[in-house]
Amino acid sequence: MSVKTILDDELIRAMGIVGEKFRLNEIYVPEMLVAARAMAMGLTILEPLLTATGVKPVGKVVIGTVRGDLHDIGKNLVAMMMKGMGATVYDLGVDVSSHTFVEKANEVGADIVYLSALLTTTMPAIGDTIKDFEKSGVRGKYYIMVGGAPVSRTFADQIGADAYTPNASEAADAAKVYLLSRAK
Amino acid sequence: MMTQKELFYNRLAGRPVDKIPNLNIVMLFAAKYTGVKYGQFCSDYRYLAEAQEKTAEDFGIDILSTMSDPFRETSDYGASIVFAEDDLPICKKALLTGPEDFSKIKIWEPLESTRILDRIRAIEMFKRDMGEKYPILGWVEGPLAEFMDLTTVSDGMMMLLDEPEAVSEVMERITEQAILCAKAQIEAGADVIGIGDVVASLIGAGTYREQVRPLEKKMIDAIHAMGAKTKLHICGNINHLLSDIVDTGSDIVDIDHMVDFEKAIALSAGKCSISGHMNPVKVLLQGTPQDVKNWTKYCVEKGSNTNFISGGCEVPKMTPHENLRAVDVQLSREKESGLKNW
Repeated sequence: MSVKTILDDELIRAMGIVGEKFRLNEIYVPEMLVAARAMAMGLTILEPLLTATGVKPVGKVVIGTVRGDLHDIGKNLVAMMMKGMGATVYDLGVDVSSHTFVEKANEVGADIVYLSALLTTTMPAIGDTIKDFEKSGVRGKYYIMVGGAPVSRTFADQIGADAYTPNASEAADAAKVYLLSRAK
Repeated sequence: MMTQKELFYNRLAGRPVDKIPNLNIVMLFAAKYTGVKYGQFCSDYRYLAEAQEKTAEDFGIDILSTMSDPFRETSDYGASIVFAEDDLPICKKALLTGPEDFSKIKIWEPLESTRILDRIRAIEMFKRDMGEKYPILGWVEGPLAEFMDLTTVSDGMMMLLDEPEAVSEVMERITEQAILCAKAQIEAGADVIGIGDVVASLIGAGTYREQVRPLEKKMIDAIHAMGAKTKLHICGNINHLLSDIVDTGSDIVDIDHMVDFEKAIALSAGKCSISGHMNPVKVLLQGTPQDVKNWTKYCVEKGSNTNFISGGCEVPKMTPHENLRAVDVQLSREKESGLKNW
């Protein structure tokens, strides 16, 4: 079995099933995290082989929880699901400054930037980060996705985000749709 | 005119009230409204108590709460908590990184602790200042929430599946400690003990039923035996857990905005009171006073004669004052309009 087949037909397909079960409330966060851990361990083995055989990821995603917010569970789930759909994920962690998001997106040539916040008090930092992309003159280069418990579609529209999804599974689906639309 | 305490107990029993009690949860909002830095609010009971008393009086909130942050017990177990000047305290390093650390969880005496003792002092101050008038809400972390506070949510959730027996054993100890903390708070004057088990919304019904609910029930039964009421707070989407949660025996169950309110009211009939279920962000923070009044009216009309009104979780810090006031305005108006459920 080729490395690409193991990735596409086994790991990515499995994470797709896990994501769908999560979306349908058939499994919950502990099961998602354990599945994602297995995926991550599999990728650790496969990644050098994929690089050696010239297989490219479906896209590059820079992700983090915005400045002032230390919560990571939602962001971690999104990162895992993004990896699960075949993207290379650059996880900046929590309490990430807008400058760091811009710098990392530019450095790695990201396709997608995902901004997460759990608190109503830190939610405005998502908007501030998008403004910093605008000020830096690179807003148009990146598809900016937002999420987190207090975030809504209305809020996402107000701050000029490109996409909002209510959970990690749908975030990965939306990212995949965007990446595939660009590939056409 | 009934006191807030009379309102609370009458409503809980389904007896007539002058106003349906407003049990909105205010923490960051109360600190900001009263000009208190949140670091002080969390670390010095005098700031917390003064902020809660003033906010309750000014906004028609019918309970005095000792809630502040998730890390009071965590700190007293020995974790290092970092206080910000005007923000939530944080735990930068988990005390438990795996089952090999679980033996670190030892039982301690609440009156010899630091942060739980500060909460006990807040209760004593409430009791002294307004204890005749208002019900006083003490607080403990639920078994699952405290376990996650000690481990981090990501790691704790995986341990729940990887090491269920070891996790259950440590959650038993956490439960024993929470009962001691509740006892000290009841002896200081708390009328109600809130049990915050927020992360339970992230687990499935089977795991909740097997590993968490028996321990929550143990806490609830112990608190009842000490003569206080209980308020179980699991914010987030608990539609899948509702039938199990209303059977815990808690007197009040908080219901967040994404939960099917009418189903919760139906399932809770004869078992417990429901408190909720306004969207804290879309309605209280981002809505208009009229939106808040509409949702208050909805919760009254679709509720029962024992339900309380509140946001599904904490009132956001930046909530416009007129929005929070609109809850009380509408509740007072509802009584005059002679609608059902009074």
